[in-house]
Amino acid sequence: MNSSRTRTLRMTTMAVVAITISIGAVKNAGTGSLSAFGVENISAICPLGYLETAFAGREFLPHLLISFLVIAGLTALLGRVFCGWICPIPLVRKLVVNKVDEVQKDFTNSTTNEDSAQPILADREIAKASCSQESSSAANNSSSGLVILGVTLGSSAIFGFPVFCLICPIGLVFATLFALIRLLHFNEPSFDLIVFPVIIIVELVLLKKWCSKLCPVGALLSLFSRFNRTLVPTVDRSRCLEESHDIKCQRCRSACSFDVDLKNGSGTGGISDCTKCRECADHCPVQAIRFRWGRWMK
Amino acid sequence: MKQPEFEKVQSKSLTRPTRRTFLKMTGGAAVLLGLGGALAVFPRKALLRPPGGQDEAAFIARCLRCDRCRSVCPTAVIGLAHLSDSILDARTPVMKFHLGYCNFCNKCVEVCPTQALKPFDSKTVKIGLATVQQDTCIAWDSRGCMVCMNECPYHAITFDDQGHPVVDSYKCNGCGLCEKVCPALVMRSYIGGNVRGIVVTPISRKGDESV
Repeated sequence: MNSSRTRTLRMTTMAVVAITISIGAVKNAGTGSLSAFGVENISAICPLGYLETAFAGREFLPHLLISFLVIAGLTALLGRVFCGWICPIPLVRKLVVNKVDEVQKDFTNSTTNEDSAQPILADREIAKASCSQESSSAANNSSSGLVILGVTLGSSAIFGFPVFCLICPIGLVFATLFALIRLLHFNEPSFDLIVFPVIIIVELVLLKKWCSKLCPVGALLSLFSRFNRTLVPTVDRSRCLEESHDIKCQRCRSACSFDVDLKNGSGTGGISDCTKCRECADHCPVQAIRFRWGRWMK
Repeated sequence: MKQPEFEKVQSKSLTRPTRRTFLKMTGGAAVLLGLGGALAVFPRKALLRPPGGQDEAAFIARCLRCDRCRSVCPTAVIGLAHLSDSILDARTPVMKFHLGYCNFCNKCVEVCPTQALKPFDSKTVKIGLATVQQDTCIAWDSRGCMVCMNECPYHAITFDDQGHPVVDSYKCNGCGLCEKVCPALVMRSYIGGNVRGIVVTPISRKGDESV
């Protein structure tokens, strides 16, 4: 089905990123990992890592600000595509628990007449709603992430080293790969190869909502994605079953890892949480959801 | 259990996270603070850092464990510290002189994105100090071996009257070539890949470098 095609594509891009980084490490190309990926003295640095080191070292590091701003700009332009297409965590989750995304509650049986009586916003109004709602939705999904983000930066400043980096699942995925490469290349066995995957599994399996509720990298990106106006999922109301046929349908919301409700914005996730994973569009039975390049473009 | 949560969501007045999320959030915050606090006071043994990373406090504040310096090193002397070194040091770059030696090519400093490895003066930089291990050194056991002296590019190793190697701590910059070429492991058949008769040891920053 269509749904599995986009998902396969996402998994493929994540795998390509991970494999590229692994090849760089094996070939000693000096490319690094997602913490800092680059050639020679140019590198794209993890925006959270940049802030952590700036706080921990109490130094501004102006040469890294360009990279930070480029990533912020790209996130504002394209939204949190990093979370949906580059970050290896959904791929790891797929490999560990055979589920790609964080499963949300099933809404299908919790319908009320009241709910369907609510006026469903027009396409344009969704934008306004999601903007005005941001102040309150920030207190929903991303608020816990923002608290973790604050504690991450605070702990770096207090203790003088990037504390979150030690347990960051993205970093640990690559640390595991590098430890494996060292084992094969230099016969260098270590406990790291057992401990790192255990930490990743604890974070992803025991804390199922890691990406939407806890990840400070995602929380930081969501600060920039508030300005995102392209590739925003919009519901074509003339097609949507709820509008045109008066049938209760919550498939787009239940497919969304971040509990974004596209129709009336009542989910715990705001539109800025959207990772452009296209699960909602692929789960819509009548293909009513589009990811348009421009909201105002016809 | 899920029903009330959903209703709260529906009411649209949800300005606080659910209790479960709140618990996870405070738990996560506590883990970060606890981990940071525990590691900040936990004693760590000094490690041999790549050149430019000798100021340990500044180094550990900036190192992102991104793997770029390890990967770019042309002599493969840069390896990774393990959890067994300490939780804080795990994944940070350390010098493994049984695998290579440092030619101060500066590539690791160039690729380091956060300047955890700072630009260094090649005349004054010291990664560590070569130290003769009397119990494993072949010259201490049975005279004759002069491999380290012959290989040292900085002429920092001389031999005394008894035929024992002596390291000049002014000339030695800890490049590790002596450790790499030391034949003690092979000739005395030690088990384990990194036993050497001369080993580069970290210089304690407060200690006098002239020994």
